[in-house]
Amino acid sequence: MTEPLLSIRGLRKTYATDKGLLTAVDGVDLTLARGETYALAGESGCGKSTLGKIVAALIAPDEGSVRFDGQELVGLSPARLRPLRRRVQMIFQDPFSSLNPRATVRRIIEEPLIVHGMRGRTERRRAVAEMMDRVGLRADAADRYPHEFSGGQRQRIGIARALILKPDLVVCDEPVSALDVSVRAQILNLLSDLQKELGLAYLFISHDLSVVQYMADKVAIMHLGQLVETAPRAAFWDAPRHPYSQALIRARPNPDPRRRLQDKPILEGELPSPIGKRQGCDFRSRCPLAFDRCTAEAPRLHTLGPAHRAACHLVEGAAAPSDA
Amino acid sequence: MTPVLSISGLRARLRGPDPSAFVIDGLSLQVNRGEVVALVGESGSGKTMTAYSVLRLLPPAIQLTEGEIRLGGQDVVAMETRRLRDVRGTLASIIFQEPMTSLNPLMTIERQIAEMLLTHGKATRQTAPERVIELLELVRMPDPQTRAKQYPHSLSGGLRQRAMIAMALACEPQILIADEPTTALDVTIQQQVMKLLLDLRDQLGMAILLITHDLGVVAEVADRVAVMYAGRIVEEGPVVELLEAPRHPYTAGLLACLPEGVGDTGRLIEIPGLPPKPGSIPEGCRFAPRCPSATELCTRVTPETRTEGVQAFACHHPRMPA
Ligand SMILES: Nc1ncnc2c1ncn2[C@@H]1O[C@H](COP(=O)(O)OP(=O)(O)OP(=O)(O)O)[C@@H](O)[C@H]1O
Ligand SMILES: Nc1ncnc2c1ncn2[C@@H]1O[C@H](COP(=O)(O)OP(=O)(O)OP(=O)(O)O)[C@@H](O)[C@H]1O
Ligand code: SF4
Ligand SMILES: [Mg+2]
Ligand SMILES: [Mg+2]
Repeated sequence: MTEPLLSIRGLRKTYATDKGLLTAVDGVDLTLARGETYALAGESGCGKSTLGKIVAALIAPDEGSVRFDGQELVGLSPARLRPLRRRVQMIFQDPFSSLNPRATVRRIIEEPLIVHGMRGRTERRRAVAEMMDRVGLRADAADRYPHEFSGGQRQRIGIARALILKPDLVVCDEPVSALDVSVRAQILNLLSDLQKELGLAYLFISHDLSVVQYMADKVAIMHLGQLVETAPRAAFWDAPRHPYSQALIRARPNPDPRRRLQDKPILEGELPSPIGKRQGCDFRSRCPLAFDRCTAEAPRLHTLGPAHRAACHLVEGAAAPSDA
Repeated sequence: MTPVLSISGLRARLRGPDPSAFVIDGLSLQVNRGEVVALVGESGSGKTMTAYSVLRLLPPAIQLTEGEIRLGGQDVVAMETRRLRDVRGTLASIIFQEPMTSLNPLMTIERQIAEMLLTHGKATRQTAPERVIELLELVRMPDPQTRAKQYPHSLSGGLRQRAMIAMALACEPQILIADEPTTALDVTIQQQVMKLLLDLRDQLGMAILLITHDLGVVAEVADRVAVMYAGRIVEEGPVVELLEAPRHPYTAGLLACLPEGVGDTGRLIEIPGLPPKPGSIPEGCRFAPRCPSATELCTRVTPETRTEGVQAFACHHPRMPA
């Protein structure tokens, strides 16, 4: 086996708030291969962006390890981190706020090249022009400012900026959530094309399961800072094992007018607070299958098959040894 | 029977030098008692401005120029301001996408709902507190006694949305206009809120005009659907027919470009280009520059809306019926 591109172990991140310690990421393990798309899905506030930012080395975890191409990123000095940073880039949800309003499109896309001390001016210009063409921005856009562009066009600018350094891994944080459906299709197609051409791996954050289903080779479902299920594409859609994954898949709005809301089972009950200590399974207040043990004891992630894991007491009996 | 809401030939434009900058451009729509009608369309198509017109809440930059709007048979366009204030809340109320725009951050939930009841004479100082709790129970607010005393910022997004619905329902309107009521919420909470709205529809017989861009939500809850493009309704019909056999190429395009529209390995279908902006609406059919079926006729002549079977659509080259 070759070394995975990304390997995360025991990652934890907490924030001090005025109400107490908030655990945003709570013991996450994840392995991502070259050229692969791993989707990270879950409800608002479950810690997806925090995890993505740790992977992109934009924030540091409290505990745990992030190995990228065999090298540990956590605790690295800024100077040693810099060459690795080039290889991991991030695309953000909101193309409106993530682009400097006072910089021209050329300047925005060129910036990472300058930061990483790349080449002379003419070479940079050529690289920018090529990248703009590649993401479907017209050459005359180079001297204009972000506010002159639509949401979809701005997202193209964000993609060009992220890819100009030819990274190996791109953390896409809700890259199409702010876009209209017709434009969303344009951007998703572009991201798939670029992935094939450039051999990119994506950590693809999205709360929209339809988008996840379209993009992902593997799926990780996150709930209050923890992964409750990870699975290869087919296993996830055909045989999800965690009650939360099952509920999300069943509840997914889908444009079939014969599946009416009034006939669908929906999750009732409130989420526990991410602040302070919790006991038992975090999903039990909403879980239709919860039983006594779920209150007393937090379930561990059980391995069910290759890359398939679920954290639920009910799958324990079915758990396979990790070489299954 | 008179429809609860009836809009015909509505036009509204941006004030300013350009007399052709219409944001709503000849829109007609009816909502009947107890019906859930979805108004769908992409960003900027004019959904919110349509909702605002109904309660005469248009921003100063936008001016209603033509058309008729009737709520429960009464002419809204000609209505005097006093009467209008009565109508808001009692005949029709509106809930907004972002609850914080209509909840006052400095007032407890209880006080906001109580004021609503008092202004419309639906309760007295004595009866209001009890009625507020009833309303919070109606929207299934957990622990209503405690929540009533809280300020909006201490509620989660889903609970705020419930507080807003409670306020909108305080005066038992005949129609609730819900402008993207769940877009900011998670799917699971979104479904709780939508289910609540449907239950309230059944319980109170109120109609709902649901504004959304999410065809998944439309499929789950709407009885009838109107698809809006650049200020105009391009197709309208019952939810099953419209989603299963759309006649207008734009409706078909919106459905096809969803990730559900492709097989496991397929590419997503794209609608090329962008919708036009007010003031630069093309001649002929406004969808023509992006339409796969467009012909020379489409770039010259605006298609009239016509009805075939249960669907109405404005297109020279409609897709085959089911
Ligand atoms: N800088 C911060 N200070 C304090 N708390 C934070 C901070 N950043 C995030 N959090 C909290 O950490 C938790 C995880 O947040 P995060 O943004 O990672 O969630 P998310 O899954 O990306 O949510 P969304 O889908 O809404 O983007 C949330 O409870 C959030 O409020
Ligand atoms: N206050 C305002 N001043 C000037 N123009 C406005 C104002 N509000 C809306 N518009 C314009 O009116 C048109 C219709 O806007 P509207 O808000 O109704 O769209 P929408 O369909 O609700 O879009 P969204 O899905 O983004 O909410 C747009 O072109 C918009 O730019
Ligand atoms: S009228 Fe022509 S351009 Fe317009 S939607 Fe129909 S086919 Fe397309
Ligand atoms: Mg996030
Ligand atoms: Mg709107």
